[in-house]
Amino acid sequence: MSAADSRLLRFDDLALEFPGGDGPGRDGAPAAKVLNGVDLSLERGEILGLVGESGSGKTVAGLATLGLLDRRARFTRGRLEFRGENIIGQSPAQHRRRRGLDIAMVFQDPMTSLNPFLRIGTQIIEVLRRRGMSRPDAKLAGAQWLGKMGLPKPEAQMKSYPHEMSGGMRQRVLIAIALALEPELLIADEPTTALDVTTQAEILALFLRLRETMGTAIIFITHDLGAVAGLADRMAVMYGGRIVEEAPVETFFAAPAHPYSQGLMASRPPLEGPRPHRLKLVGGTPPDPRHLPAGCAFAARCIQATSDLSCEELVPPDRQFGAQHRVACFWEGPR
Amino acid sequence: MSAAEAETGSRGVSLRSAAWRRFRRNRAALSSLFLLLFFVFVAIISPWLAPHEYHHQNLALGASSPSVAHWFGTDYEGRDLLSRTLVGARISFLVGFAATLVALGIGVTWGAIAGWYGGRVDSLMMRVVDVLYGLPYMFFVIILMVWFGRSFLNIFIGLGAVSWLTMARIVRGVVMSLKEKEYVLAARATGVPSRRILLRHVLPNALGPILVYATLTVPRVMMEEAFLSFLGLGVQPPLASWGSLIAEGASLFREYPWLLAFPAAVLSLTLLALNFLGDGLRDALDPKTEANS
Amino acid sequence: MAGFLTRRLIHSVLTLFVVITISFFMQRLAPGGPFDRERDVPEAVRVAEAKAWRLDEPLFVQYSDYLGGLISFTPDLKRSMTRPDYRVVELMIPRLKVSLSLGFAVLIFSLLVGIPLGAAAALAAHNRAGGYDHLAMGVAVVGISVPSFVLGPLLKWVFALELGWFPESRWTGLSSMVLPVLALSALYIATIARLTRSGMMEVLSEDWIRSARAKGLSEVQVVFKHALRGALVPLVSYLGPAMASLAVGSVVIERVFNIPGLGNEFVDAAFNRDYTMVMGTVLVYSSLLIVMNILSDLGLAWVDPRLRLRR
Repeated sequence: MSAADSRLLRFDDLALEFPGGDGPGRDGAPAAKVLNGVDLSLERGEILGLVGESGSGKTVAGLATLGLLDRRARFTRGRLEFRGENIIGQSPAQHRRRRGLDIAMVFQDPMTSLNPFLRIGTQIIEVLRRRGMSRPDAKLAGAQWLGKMGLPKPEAQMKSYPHEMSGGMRQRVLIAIALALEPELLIADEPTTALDVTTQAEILALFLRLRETMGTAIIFITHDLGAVAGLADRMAVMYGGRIVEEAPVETFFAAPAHPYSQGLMASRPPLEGPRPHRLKLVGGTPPDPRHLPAGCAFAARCIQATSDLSCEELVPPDRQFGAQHRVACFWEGPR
Repeated sequence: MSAAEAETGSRGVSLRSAAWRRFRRNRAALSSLFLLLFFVFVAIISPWLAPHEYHHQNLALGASSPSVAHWFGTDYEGRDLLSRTLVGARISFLVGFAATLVALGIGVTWGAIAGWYGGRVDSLMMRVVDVLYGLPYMFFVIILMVWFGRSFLNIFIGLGAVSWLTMARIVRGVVMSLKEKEYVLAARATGVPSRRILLRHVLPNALGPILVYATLTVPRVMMEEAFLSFLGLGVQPPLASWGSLIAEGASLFREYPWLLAFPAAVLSLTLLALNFLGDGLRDALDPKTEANS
Repeated sequence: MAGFLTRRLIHSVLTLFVVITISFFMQRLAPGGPFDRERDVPEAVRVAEAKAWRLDEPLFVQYSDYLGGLISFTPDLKRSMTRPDYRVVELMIPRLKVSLSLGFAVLIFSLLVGIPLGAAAALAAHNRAGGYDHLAMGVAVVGISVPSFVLGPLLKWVFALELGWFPESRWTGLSSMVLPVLALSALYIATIARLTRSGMMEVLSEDWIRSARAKGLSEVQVVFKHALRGALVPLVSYLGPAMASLAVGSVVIERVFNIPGLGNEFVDAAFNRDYTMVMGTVLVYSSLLIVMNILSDLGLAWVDPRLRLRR
């Protein structure tokens, strides 16, 4: 029972789709099945690295947690529990109350995620005011938060506009805004992709410090394995709207079990020398969520897939691979 | 999604057919197109269609309300309003299309040259446009009509001259962005003369925005012609345009409401259809805005 | 900011110069003159009159004379040619007051009605309640398509003649403003609603609106604090051109409702070939346009902080 208590967030076989026959030019198109039975959980104070290509469903999973999905999104099965309570189907007001206070999200692009028409101060104060803070208090606290994020001259920064800041500074502001309400869970959606390497390292260090000082649980969404290696406690790999592998970081990096994970590892940028901006991870293209194959979504790109394993016909179930290590694959591995 | 897919396919043809597919789905725009085609057709064959001579006076009859002999009624001098509205249709459409062509000619040339050559040529040409933009243009048109005579030519020149500025800006923007496209760069690198590149590669791709703006210019010009005619500065009696008919009707509508009602309805309906058509074309040719609606 | 204003000032002077030059040469090159219509006047008197107005001198002398009168601390717009007892300025001021109050009433009324209408349509479309959106935008196209000189007589017919709520064609102050303002506003309400809608639609799909929602802000805060400001950008840049079209629109509506405004005065002066009066009214309209365009640019910088950095 104690294990269940420490669980902050739990995806239980969550599936959702966007209907296809909506809007001009899409008549009769099949629904886009974006999540197809996601099982995942997160403990309090834990950092989880969620890895996958664009379109694998990472961001949608994050948005679902915040209740920020497009109105057309339709949950087809499963549960999504926050603090043991299923939040699927809750009213927009219930979702809104949780946003910022319990769960915060930092989005991918710092250049477009801040309102260009409002001062930084305004954008952080309005969050703090949600806690009933008076305006002067919120102003003070806001500047403090900016300072904690390592922004120089935080009081002066409160008066500036987003376009007057660099990308790294904006990302710090976004993180400050997300943390200002001291949420229990922070979802960071590729927060470092748009930044240079030095700033990336600084932001990652920031996340680690956060967890230490405030016990914030973090879901770190990324397609960059290197970024998660030093940060996360646990890794989850997402493909075609499912978690295909989940393991503690050390286990994962030592011996990834899913052929897709192995592909990801193999195509990792070298630890030394110049780092290409974005790598082509694995050969082939990700599956179209409107036309998912009957079997394993990865089968078409998988170098291990064979007809013996019926990869093309059946969806591989989760398989325990070792302690806390599960994988959704028929292939038994080289062992 | 399917629109995006269609556009990643072969350029040109599929893009156009995707636009046409989107356009067909827009019921307001499609019915507007048919209504306009009908109006234009009627205007063209009106000399054979009109039940009476538009200038034939029947003073004994005077202003009579709509009847079997005169569907739209007759005006103060006993002239058949339907026939006059039909003549007005020819004039209004003629002015609308001709002045738009004038605007198109000047605007496309001006904008294409400025956008293509860029640099100082561009900034000089666009500065001229900026200055002209700041002028109270319609006042000059009024002066032109009053002092230089109310001829057709002056109407075309006056109204066409007002409308080319925006066209020039639009074309310049499109040309500037197309200039950097690979196929244009390739053509330049292989030494194809500028004029050929502009005519062959650039302008055909700028056709969408040009078409949309031209469609939206026609109703504007028609409204401006009606405005001039309303002030007594358009076509002169016994000829009639919709604007001059409305002006006559507006002064007598208390006693003879049909004199205002019919021309006003026909003009408003035409302008409405042209605006719907222009909006529909814009939505069809620019999927970005369509995705929002 | 100072640099911006200086550049605009130079630009404005240039524009006014072009306006003066075009209208001056248009009137002098046109066949006929202000005193042609008085047929029974003896030739000697006509020549004397032309001489008094220096119309017999070379064009360029007349032109530099007129320009010279303008370039001074007390710009001289001369006397009216058809009513030589009055200075042009004297004749214009009361009429300008009428036209300005009409124009600003239209502008403010249109903004007050158009912005909420467009914003509501955008929100309806955004929340996939397209019915209201389609209706509102359909009505807006009607508003754009029906000319004010059709709407004016119609309103007069219904509300002045049939119902008798408002005076028909007398200028008696506030109540006589209602119908002209309504007739003229339709176009601007519709245009403003369309601009607000498209601006709002664009802003609502921005990343930072999602960020604002992720902060747990209420929908009211998201729309009014975060979205509306950005949505107003296209609207504010429209205000300059709106003024230009409003000036033209007021000419026709002043004629429909017999309003003693500057537009009516301009048309009369043009018909009467009152050169000095035409010059005066055109100059006033041009200056208004210039001021409005500068205000619109300043407003744009006020709304969008990113524009303030430009030199």
